Amino acid sequence: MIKFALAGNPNCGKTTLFNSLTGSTAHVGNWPGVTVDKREGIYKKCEEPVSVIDLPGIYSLSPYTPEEVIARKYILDEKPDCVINIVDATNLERNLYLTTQIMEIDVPMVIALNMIDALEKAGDKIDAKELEKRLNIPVVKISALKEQGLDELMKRAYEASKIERKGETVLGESALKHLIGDVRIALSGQNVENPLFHAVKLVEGDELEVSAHKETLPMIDEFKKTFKDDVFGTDFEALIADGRYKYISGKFSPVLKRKSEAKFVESRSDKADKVITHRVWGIPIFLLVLFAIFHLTFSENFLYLGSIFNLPTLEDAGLINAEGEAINYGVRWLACIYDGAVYSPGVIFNNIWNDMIVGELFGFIQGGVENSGMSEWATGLINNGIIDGVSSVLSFLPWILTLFLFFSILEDSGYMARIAFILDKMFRKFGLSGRAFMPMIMGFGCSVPAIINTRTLADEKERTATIRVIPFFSCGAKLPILTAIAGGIVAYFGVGNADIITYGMYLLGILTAVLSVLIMRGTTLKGETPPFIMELPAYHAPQFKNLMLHLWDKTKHFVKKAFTIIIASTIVIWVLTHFSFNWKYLADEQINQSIMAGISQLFQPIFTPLGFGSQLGEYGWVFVVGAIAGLIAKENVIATFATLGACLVAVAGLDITGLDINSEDGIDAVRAMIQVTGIGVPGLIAYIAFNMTTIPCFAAVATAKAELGSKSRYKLTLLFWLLTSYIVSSLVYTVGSWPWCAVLWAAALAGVIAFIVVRNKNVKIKE
Amino acid sequence: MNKPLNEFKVGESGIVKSVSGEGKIKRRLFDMGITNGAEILLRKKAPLGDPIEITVRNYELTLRKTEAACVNMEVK
Amino acid sequence: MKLIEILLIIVAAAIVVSVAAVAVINRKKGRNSCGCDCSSCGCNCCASKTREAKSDDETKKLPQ
Repeated sequence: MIKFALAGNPNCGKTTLFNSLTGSTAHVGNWPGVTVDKREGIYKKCEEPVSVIDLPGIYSLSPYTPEEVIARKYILDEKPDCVINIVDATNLERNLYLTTQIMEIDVPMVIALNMIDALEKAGDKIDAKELEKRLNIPVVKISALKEQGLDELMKRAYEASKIERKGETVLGESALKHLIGDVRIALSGQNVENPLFHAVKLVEGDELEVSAHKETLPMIDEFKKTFKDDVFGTDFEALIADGRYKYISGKFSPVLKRKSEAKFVESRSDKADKVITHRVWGIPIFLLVLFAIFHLTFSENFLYLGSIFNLPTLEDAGLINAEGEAINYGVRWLACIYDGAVYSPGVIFNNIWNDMIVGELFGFIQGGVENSGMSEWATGLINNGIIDGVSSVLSFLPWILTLFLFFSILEDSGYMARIAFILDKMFRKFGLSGRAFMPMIMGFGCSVPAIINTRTLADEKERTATIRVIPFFSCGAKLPILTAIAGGIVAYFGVGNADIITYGMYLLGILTAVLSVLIMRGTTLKGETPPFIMELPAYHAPQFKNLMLHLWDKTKHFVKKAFTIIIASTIVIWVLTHFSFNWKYLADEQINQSIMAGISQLFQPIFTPLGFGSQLGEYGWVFVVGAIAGLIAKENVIATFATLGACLVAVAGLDITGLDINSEDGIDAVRAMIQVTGIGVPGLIAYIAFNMTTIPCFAAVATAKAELGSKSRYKLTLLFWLLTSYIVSSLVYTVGSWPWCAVLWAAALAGVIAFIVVRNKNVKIKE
Repeated sequence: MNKPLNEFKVGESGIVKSVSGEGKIKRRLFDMGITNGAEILLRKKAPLGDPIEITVRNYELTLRKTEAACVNMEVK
Repeated sequence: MKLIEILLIIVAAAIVVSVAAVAVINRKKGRNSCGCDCSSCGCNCCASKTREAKSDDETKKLPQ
């Protein structure tokens, strides 16, 4: 099959074009560097099927970050049949800079002038025919978003792929003409492929090139000695970059006719930025946006309407009968939206999904199973093992989707890149660049893509540090642990407020991340603060289709996971908790004789300093099972709770009134566990903290292993996660139980930091 | 008058005279279009005073003051 | 034991075995069991790697 590669600057619409061409649903965002790996799709409307390869965005063919190396290697080594160079017409000069470099490779190419619609909307005009003539390369105007000009583009690309093309350079008129010519002839003599491209890069002194052609270097240095420029001396890098841009602004840019002659036009984006990244208001606006997202997702008092207008609860209004049930079906729907206060969209979505859909459906199935006359163990396996486990995970879909939707909107609109701009100075204090913010915030969605996105970071040590702290940005799968345990605490102890506990735990995660970055950058991962040079993309309204695609993908993934890994884990856990070592079936009340109990009781003492170990007595091991199952996937924690909670209720002598163990949110399962084990609030909070900061899940571990590159760094990372979770949760537990411990911990922390600072100072003095 | 880009005030513009600095940073600045003769306008500073946002070759770029110090400018 | 109960055991065992098997196979292939749907998160690490392996095979077969 013939292969077309899509190459171009970051954020110029490559992935949008890729999706339009191949009908894929790859993730598109509005910040530079969403695509960090190449991917393939098939375009079928040509004479023969074409494999289209989407490459990460690059500014030049001299790579700067790991993901840029991928793009360069692909074009040079895999030899696509045609390179489709996507050029953002609204940002012509800088985009053509890359074009002038790809031109030097012996590969057929066409130029796709993208975002023509945005350009023409602004009143500017571009003469594609003239550009084509001057470049001597086919140029096609397209709009990837509106799917205009795509067939024409592919037709021209197909034609071009049939004709061989020799590299050309725009430096042919510069002072370097002879130097490049000589090197090129020398390389051709050595049968090097793409001699012109390598000649230019060698003259430039490109790192990759220099190490690849060591034997040619002495000769080039000889050539270089004969050369002298008045302005630049012998700074060949500057000479070449300058030559390219001079040629572009002299020969190519004039094809663009701007409506306004002014050098610096103020666009709508700039006007919006005046407010959004304002010197004073920038940070408050950012905090407000974050608060608004959490409020819209979790608040049970939307816009505080309930408190402001002092609205009556459903009970006051007489819509709830004495048993606490709605008087009719309509009221049940009303209860999803309102009870004394209007719920926020996230909560409404959650209530409807759980009370009206998932609860009804699974309740119906469980009822059917119970009345089917199957033996006790079979109903137990289906109802408590499988259904409780899976439904407890599925019930969190609304919250995860709502949160994810808001983050997608932020990303799509271009605001995320501004946050990096606003926060860079703060990040620098921790030894990171503002760019590290993006993978971190992605971590709130899922650690796996976040870890992969660290490829946009140029500095190796910064990358390692960022990968290690990404799991502390609590991902969607950890949300159920948070809400269920927080809900359980409020319901059982009647203290606090579930919202505040949830926010607090998110903050604890962030704080842990900051502290560990500080410590790592001061000890094992010392290094200069990496530079921060980043493009700020123009704002645009989020694309509805795009948002829906993101959500659909997320849903698919989540449901798939619930019905594979989670269902398998719950079955295993149920079996291990319902059979004794001699494979005798145990009723729910006898779980303490089970295989699982035997094994996890061995591990129980390890967790004593964390508040959920031996002090919880004979049933305390249920927390250990949850934590260990959580290492596979964090959804397992709550699925395990649902399965084991059902058993604990059955444990003899329990008096749990008004408890609905089959409720979908896991809160009642937690209540049962609290009652049986007698765990206190500090232990529960420590339990959340442990799950938030420990080894995230198999998928994230595998990704981190692949991205970290070195075995020792990977092992250290695992150790780091285990150690951090152990320290953080024992801190939470001890301080929560005996507040005076805070003094000890503060002293220890201060000691560690002081030690690092003093040691680093001494090292500096010695140097 | 010549001065480095990091000493520019908001709204000030100028022409790049030369770019100095360590290898990788210089390379990146070139790639982003900061080459001799390019016109730069300092659009704004971040809420904490650093980094800065500039317009160069008709698009918005953000960089830190330490990187901006590598860019020598002629004030217009 | 009733027929339906035997069926239940078989289905449950099949689920556990197949999930475990898929995970092991993925690992052997060098694919990390990307927990997140890769098409959604711009990584495609798994997809591209398998396709790469495939295309490599194809190119080997074709005389060039």
